[in-house]
Amino acid sequence: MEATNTQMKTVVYDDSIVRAFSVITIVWGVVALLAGALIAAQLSFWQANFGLEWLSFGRLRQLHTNAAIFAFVGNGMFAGIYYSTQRLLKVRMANDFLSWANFWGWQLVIVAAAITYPLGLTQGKEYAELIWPIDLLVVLVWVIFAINFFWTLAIRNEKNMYVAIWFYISTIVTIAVLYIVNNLQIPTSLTHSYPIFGGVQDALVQWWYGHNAVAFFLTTPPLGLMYYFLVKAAERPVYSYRLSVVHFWSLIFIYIWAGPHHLLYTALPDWAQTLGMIFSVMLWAPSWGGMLNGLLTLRGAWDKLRTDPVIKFFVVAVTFYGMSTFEGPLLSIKSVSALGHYTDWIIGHVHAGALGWNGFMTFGILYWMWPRLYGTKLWSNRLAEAHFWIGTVAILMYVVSMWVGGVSQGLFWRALDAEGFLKYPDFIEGLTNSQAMYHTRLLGGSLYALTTLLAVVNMIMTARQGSPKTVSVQVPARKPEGDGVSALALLTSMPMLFIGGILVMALLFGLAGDMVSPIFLAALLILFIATIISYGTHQRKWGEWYGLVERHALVFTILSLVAILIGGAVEIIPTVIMSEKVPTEITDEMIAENPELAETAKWLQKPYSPLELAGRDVYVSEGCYVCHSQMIRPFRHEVLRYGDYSRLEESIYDHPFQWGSKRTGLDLARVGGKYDNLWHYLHLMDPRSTSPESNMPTYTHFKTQTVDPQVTLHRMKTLAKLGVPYTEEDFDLAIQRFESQGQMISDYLAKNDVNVAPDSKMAAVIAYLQRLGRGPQPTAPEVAAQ
Amino acid sequence: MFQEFYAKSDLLIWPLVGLVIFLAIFLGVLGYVFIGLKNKDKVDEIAALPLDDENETDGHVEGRAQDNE
Repeated sequence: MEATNTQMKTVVYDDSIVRAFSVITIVWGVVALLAGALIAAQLSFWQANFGLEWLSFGRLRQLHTNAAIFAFVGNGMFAGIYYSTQRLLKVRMANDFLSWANFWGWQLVIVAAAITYPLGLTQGKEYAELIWPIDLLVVLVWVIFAINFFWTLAIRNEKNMYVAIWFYISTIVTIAVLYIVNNLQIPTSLTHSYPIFGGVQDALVQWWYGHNAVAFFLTTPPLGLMYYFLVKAAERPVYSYRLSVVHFWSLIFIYIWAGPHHLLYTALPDWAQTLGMIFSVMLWAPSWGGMLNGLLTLRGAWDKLRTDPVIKFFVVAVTFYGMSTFEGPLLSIKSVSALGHYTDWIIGHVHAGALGWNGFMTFGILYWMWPRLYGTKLWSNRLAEAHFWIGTVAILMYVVSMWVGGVSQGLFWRALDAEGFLKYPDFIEGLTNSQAMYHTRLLGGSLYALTTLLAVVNMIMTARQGSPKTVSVQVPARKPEGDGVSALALLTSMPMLFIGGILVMALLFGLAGDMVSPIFLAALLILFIATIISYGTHQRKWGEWYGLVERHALVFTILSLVAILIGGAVEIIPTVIMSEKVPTEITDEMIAENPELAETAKWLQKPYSPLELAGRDVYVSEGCYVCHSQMIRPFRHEVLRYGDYSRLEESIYDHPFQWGSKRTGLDLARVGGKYDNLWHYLHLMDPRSTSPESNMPTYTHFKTQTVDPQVTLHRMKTLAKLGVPYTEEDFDLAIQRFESQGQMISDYLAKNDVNVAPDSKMAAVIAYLQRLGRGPQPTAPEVAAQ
Repeated sequence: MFQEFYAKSDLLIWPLVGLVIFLAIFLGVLGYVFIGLKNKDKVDEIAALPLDDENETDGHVEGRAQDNE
């Protein structure tokens, strides 16, 4: 505490909001985990889809992932942030109304997601599936949270901003940037939209978002919480404040670059893949720095590990963080990714992080915080111990089974015989071999879900034996912001001018041509040396400057934002700019001028026909991409199994892209023409009729439900605004082409005694599948003649 | 092939620029924490901030009294 002559004031913390977020965390946790157990059951036993479209794997998988990320971990994050922020800043949250608007708004988002996903309303982008009106609600709630948080920072009674607060700041600004950029879209109706990015652009932006949603929603908030709650539980100060400074800045700067490691060996330009790989490997250092900082905080308190279940949860959580952040960069090495990508290894990796790191951190925080919120002790340490041990075994069952299954799948897919051909050409055999692992995963996942009920019982009983506690503290009242130094003064101070100068010189080096860039490079080096000299001679000033930055919320936020924007900008802008240059048409004259275009011309695409587009929209809404990729990697075994490797040009008109990230089923990039329409019909109606060992759900509703050509026409016009080269003629003939193509498929099936309406979802999906890897499929001759 | 088309782009200098910026800032941060951050008392004070609210015992309990302490 400060000197006694400092004016003191009483602060009453708002813990009612913390209690609300804590309760809802455990409620959604149960829902998310049970949904996970259900979809795990569906992969083990296809009957668990119950023949209902609303419960099919493709629709429920996104419900599970979103519930786990945004409902369980998200609400836990809010609970921890609201609790720790008030205590670290020694002030009540700035506005109770905003806190409750944050709470109810977030629950509304989750409920809306829980309703729309089973209905097949999705954007078709992993972890960003929410339809656009809900996206707007997310943005609104996030802005409310941000205002409340930064307002609280502005009125705080603690001069210093502890490291946890830095992580919260970076979370707020980065999630805002990621969410907005990845959800830029044009609505076609209240429930449907197309992203403004397509193909490779969309892939890069999506995984820039997808990876950093993991980074800045599932990593930086729990790290901030770790720096607070682990310290509290251990009753020891953080092991190294210095390490936390390096940890924070290097983590947020590096993480943002790593997204392309989700796209290794795809049609993403090689330079972006390599960049993603290198920065992912670099992530090892800050991640392990953070992990060690967490574990070493327990120095001198390891005895508590024997007796305190909270410490147990934290230690295993941080250990899983270390494991996941070792495994992630490992999987980002291209040769390892070649084996692991699309397999269950990735599922194992993700769940080591989600169940081990995020889940156990959340449970640890709840077990620590909940009794204090009710002014009592935890009802049963033994029950918490049981939760911990059963949960740990459950995670290991889940993760190890997916590792074994995943590596086996990777080896199975790539195995070649002595003649260099596929040793196991039947894909389904790999799935069959994984069944034992799928059953083990189901058991582990279910066990983990059930142990959550132990936490529910413990929390209820703890609350019953205590009462809601209102905490009031006496704190010194002071003006915290930068010790009286304005943001402008800080941003224009000497150290900032040096740093700004380095940034400007680096930019000029990039912008200048070959002749001039060495000059800027030389200037950059001189400036860097001058900075070091200045630092050496004015160490005190520099130290004071950074100390002021650490205490100035606005300046700190600006610098955090700059750190994450640099990585995002240099990755995304070149791809977006260059993709705009992919020609929509290549004439003989153009090839004569530039012969290299001849190869590109071979892969140039025509837009989808109206019925194919309608089928594609159904494919997206059903979440087919969660099991079927559309990206053949340039490996012999993939080319032998699926056909020629995928080119960037082939998916340039795909809004959203459908490259996928997992192969429970075959890659579909070139499935067009491999089977006839009847095969597709039979397969969709009952996958076991064509592949007896398949675990795919049935899609019988495709036969009874229809697609509207007028809706498709409207969507074509929307896509045209996004650069898809539909012509006026395409619009004029859209309805006619839609009907004639549907009729041709219907007639074909009728010859085989199958009645399918030309405007059925079945006809549309078959049209789309038959198109994949080929040009637009024929419509009626009289239309083609026009 | 557009993959080669990308490979020849002038824009590819930007990742290099980004890397240079990162290294410069990273070295700066390292320099700060190992050279500039010398005030041990100050560091210890900040590191122990979460423990600074241990005097919450003056908080009061609403409703019925807790029965297990």
